[in-house]
Amino acid sequence: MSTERRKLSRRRLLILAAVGSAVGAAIWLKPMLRRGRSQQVSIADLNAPAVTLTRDMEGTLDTVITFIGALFGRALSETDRTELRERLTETLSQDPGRTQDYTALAQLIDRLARDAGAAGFVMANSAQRSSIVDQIMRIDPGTLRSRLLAHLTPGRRQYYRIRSTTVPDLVWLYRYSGVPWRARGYERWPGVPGDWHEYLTAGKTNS
Amino acid sequence: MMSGKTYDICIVGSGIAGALIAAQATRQGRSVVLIEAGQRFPLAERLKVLRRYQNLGGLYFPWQYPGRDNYVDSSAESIGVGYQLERYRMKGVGGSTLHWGGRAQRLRPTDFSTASTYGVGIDWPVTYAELEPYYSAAEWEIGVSGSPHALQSPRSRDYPMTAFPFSIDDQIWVPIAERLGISLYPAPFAIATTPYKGRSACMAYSACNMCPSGARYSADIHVAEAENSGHCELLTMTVARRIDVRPSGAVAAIHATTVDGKDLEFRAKNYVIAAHGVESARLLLLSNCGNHSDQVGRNFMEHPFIKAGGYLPSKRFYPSRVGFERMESMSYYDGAERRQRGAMKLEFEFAHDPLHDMESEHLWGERLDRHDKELFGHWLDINVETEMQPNSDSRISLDPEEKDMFGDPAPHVHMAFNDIDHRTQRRALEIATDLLQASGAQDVKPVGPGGLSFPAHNMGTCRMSDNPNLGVVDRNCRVHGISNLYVVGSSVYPTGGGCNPTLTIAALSLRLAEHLMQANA
Repeated sequence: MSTERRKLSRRRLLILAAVGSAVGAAIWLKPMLRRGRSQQVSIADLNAPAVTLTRDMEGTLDTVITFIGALFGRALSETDRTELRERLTETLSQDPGRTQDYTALAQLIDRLARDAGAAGFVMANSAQRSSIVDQIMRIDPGTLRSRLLAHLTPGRRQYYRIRSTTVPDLVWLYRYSGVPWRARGYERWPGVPGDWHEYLTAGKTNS
Repeated sequence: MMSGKTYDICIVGSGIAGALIAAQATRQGRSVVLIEAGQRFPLAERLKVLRRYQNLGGLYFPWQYPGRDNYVDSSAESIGVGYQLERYRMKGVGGSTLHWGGRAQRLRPTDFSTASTYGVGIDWPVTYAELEPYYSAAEWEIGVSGSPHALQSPRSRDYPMTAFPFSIDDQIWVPIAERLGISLYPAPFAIATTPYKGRSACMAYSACNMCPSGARYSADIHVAEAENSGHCELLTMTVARRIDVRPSGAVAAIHATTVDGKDLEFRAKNYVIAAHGVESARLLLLSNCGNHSDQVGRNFMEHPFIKAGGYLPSKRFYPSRVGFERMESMSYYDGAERRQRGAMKLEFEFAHDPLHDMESEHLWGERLDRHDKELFGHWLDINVETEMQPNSDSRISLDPEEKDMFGDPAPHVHMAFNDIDHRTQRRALEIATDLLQASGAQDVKPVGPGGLSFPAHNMGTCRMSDNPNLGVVDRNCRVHGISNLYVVGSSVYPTGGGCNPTLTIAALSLRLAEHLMQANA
């Protein structure tokens, strides 16, 4: 066998080994990347005591709320921020694992904001916040490439985890809160009772 | 452990079928034991359940048992998409009525005789006329709001409550539909327009799948009635695992295990399996019972939804002010075309939330905000609920490898479509698209892969037939060859039509209850 062909075979072997290792790692690490979200509701859990926020956690939630505003391209009112804070606090008692998720998100976006010259994400200007949101949202968690890249370094794994788990969780919470509905002109939204006869007449609209 | 007591009726499953039979039986002083695999979800806690769901998300419905109720699905091999059983079935006191939308329709008379009328499918051994009195009784039991219409099935009794009228959104569609020759009517719902038998009128929570007000019927109402009679024992978190059939052809007992591992045995004069389309078939298969002609689990049917949507910039809708869509049409249900394709019912939805498009359209930040402002209240979806033909390749079987928490074989779901189904779905998408375009909608497109989704209507796996070679149960829902074992629910449907199945389940259950009372008078 010529030296040229031997080199080629060795290169192929190395590539195959690298791909194999990456796939193996992906399978091995998959459970670490995504914690199960489908916990069955126990009626007892519904009455779990409310969590008392530490000063650090209050700051974390402020950062997370500011991130939600940037994610949806909206300036949040004080009413919006209060409602989101209430709901996020509830999630901490309903699913304690979220403490870690919110902390990881706040630490990452604060660091990115400092890299961009701001004192932190909350203090960053609108363009800086948008740029940070872009960095996270450009990861497409549905692609194999993203999943494989997530295994290369702990940093990438953290990005992937935030994009694939924390962001969808926050999107869900936002969509089912009153915030988007108030922005659309609604005074009532799913989960808030009223009179069904309302639907016989035109509603208010902000768009 | 054996209780030593022999009940009049042992019922597996406390959904609408089991609950109605328990209530009917206890009204006549019969003793009933009700075995339920899930837990209670009291009405008083539902607002908290809703809030938790709105905060945390997770599975579409918040009352599943991930890790406990394993299953295997190979539907993607045949239909191109998976069947997500964990999203569609419900275990709890009240069964699937805890999360249903409340649509309470009768099948059409032709649905009972598709083979003799159109040359497709198979005829039911009972006719619409035979079932009609039970439909009426069911509407009054569960409280249906409706208004009679020429395209609905004939009826002997008025609805107990008037229908929800068309909304201001719906009114926009009326002249368009008239121009296109489509007949619209307010859909019947088991949601109260006025207070009904202790239930409140609709309080517009816009969350019908949990309905914190209790205006939408859920079968725990009838379970409570049975329990309050003093003649019914309910065992929750208890899984029926085997039916013990004697060589003489009668059931001797049902064996169950609680989720914390206690074995129980129940004896009764009659046994009713009402555990929904998947678990009823699985229990028969696990017990090697009723499968004399290899029919148990076969003919697994759904109502494939075909949905298309479009943008109507010049119209203004107000989505989600209540949680249900009021308007529907049967204009494409019956007729000569049904020789070539299944029945179709049209539903009109104004509920599209543009924030849902975030992932699919790769939108965030200000672009997402602009998208929301542009589309919210200007999007119409047309949903076509289609009939799926019975097909022996579409089936529930026992998986050879996957086990449940007790080590019993888990269900294996394999949904399959035949040529008629493909034709039906193509035609449904064509109709929805044409109607949207004729209404002036822009950017008309299917919603989801091929517009296909499933509404969680599991049917056909223990079908009813007078011929033991073609079915599992006879016209009275009795398992062929077993004197005291009955199966009831959508699992016994020979065909499924294009209408939501719950009211027919209720009617069949009331009919079976009457049969059991007469047989053991």
